[in-house]
Parts: sequence; structure tokens; C-alpha cells
Amino acid sequence: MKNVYVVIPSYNEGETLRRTVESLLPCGYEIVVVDDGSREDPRDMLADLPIHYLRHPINLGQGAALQTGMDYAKAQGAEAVIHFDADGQHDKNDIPQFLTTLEAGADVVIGSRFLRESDLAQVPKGKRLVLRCARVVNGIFTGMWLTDAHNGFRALGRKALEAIDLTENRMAHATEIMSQIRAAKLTVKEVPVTIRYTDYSQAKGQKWTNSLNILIDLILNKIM
Amino acid sequence: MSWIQVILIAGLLVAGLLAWLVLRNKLFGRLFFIVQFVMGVVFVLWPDLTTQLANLIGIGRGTDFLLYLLILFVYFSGMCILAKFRQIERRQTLLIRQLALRGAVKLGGAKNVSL
Repeated sequence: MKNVYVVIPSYNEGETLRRTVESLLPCGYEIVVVDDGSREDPRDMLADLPIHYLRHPINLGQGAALQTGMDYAKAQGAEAVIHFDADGQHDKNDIPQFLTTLEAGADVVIGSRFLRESDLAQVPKGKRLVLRCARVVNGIFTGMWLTDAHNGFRALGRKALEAIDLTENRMAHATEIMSQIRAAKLTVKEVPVTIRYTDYSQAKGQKWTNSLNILIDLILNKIM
Repeated sequence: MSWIQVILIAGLLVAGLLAWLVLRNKLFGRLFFIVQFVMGVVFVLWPDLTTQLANLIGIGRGTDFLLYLLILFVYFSGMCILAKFRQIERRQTLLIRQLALRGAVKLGGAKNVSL
């Protein structure tokens, strides 16, 4: 597949962002870093790397950064976009299976930690429980019952790029994207992915209390 | 007219004017604030009216009746403000996104990319 754009939203990631980008470069994809108003602009740190760089002047949230990256990739003629985390928890070696699944006819491919025992074993116990609850909330709100509720590792084909327009700036975008996939009748496939839980990604990642915030965002989005 | 009535009506006038300025274009919001304002003035001038109205709908005291109305009004006003916030946030996002897209650069020595 040609014209594959890897969109990496980033907020106060520092050196980790550079390491993540460097690890992706040999794969030959177009890399789009969207800095979401970090305190320190990471541009100088990335200046020598052949990537596309965009920056929000103020912080909006991960959903907003992803949409900015997708708008950019769309304008550049992307055939596929990969959502990839800056904090190093996604594995670049998983990307080819996303692309082959797109080529096989899926419009959207979503990573799942619940398809292989070995991947699931990596997920901390408390997190598993939160994810199982989130799966039910997602199912109720979107009518789509995937095995993994909030997996940020996704691939979207051109048709999906045209149809998806995220308005949830913060983490509720992960559920919003499901609603839009369903509304646009896009075909979805899941592929198993390994998520690396480092101390860094754990600290950067979401606390379980934030799932309540996500729920409230979702309800608000439904009524206003 | 007692002093407290003068103070309360002056306060209502200021609040009403502010609300008017904020909600100039929305009929529903305008009507809501007009009704709220008129009721406020009426109840300040004729306090006994609240008790009569309360008894009419089966609430014992006028103060309770006012309290229930207040809760409804505060809740409704809060929802209006929240909706407005979300609308502004959405517009802000579009604006920031346009800025980011226009400022997009290709690093690694290449020139600006224009969309």
C-alpha cells in the first residue's frame, strides 16, 4: 500500500517522541507529528528528521490532534492513516498487518489487546476491568461490540478518512469514532496488537477515574 | 415600597440587562429571561402572591415554591451556559486546526508544504 501516513499526536513527550519517530523512520511511511500545544515546542528536537510537523498553538486534546493529522494526511492524498501513540507503547511491527487488513477490504482496522492471551497478560489487572466496563459503555453508545474498547492503535482507509470527523477533543473520541464508523456503515476488522506498558506510558496514560470523564463527555455529546 | 424591594429590583434590572446582552439572538433564551425577570419583579412587589400560588399547586409555603423555581432556573441556566461552552470549544478547535494546517512544515531540510 502506498501513501501511508502515520499520525502521531504528541503532548509534552520530550525525548520519547523522538525515539518513537526514529524507530518508525526505517519503515518508509510518511510520518505526521501533531504537537498538541506542548509547553516546549518539540520542533527543534525533530528538525533533522524527514517528517511532517504540525502544531496546535494551544492544547486541545488527543482527539483534536488526531483529527488535525487526518485532515492534513487527507489533503496530502493519503490512502491510509495509522494512529500511533507517541509514548512508545505501540509496536511498529504491527503496522503491516493493519495495512494488509485494509487491503483485504476493511475500511477501518482497530487493534485489540483481547484477541491473544499473551497480549492480554501484558495489561495490568485494574486496567483490564476498566476496559471491560468501557466495552459495555461503548456497545451501548455506539451499537458496536468490539473486543477492546479504547485502543488507540488504528488504521483508516481513504473511505473512512472522508467519513470520520472527530469533534470530541479529549479521550471520548475513541467512542465517537465508533459511532461515526457505524453511521457511515464502514467495515471494521480487529487485529491483535501487543501494547508495551512501560512506567513512562503508564504515568502518561489514563487514570481509571478519567473513564468517568469520558462517560460524561459522551452523555453531553448525545444531548447537546 | 421597602428598601429591600428597591435593592432586589435594581439587582434584577442589572441581571436582566446582562442576560439580554448575552442572549440577543435566541428567542427561547430571551423569553426565558423575560419571564424570569417579570416573575422576579412581581414576587418582590407582592410577596404574598408566592404563598397563594404555592397553595394553588399544593405546596405549603411561598418560600418553598420560590426555591423549586430557583432550582429549575439555575439548572436550566447552567445547561445553556454549558451548551454555549461546547459550541465555543468546537469553533476554537476548528480555528486552531486551520492555524496548524497552515503552519505545517516538512522537517529534515525541505521547504514549507502548502495546502
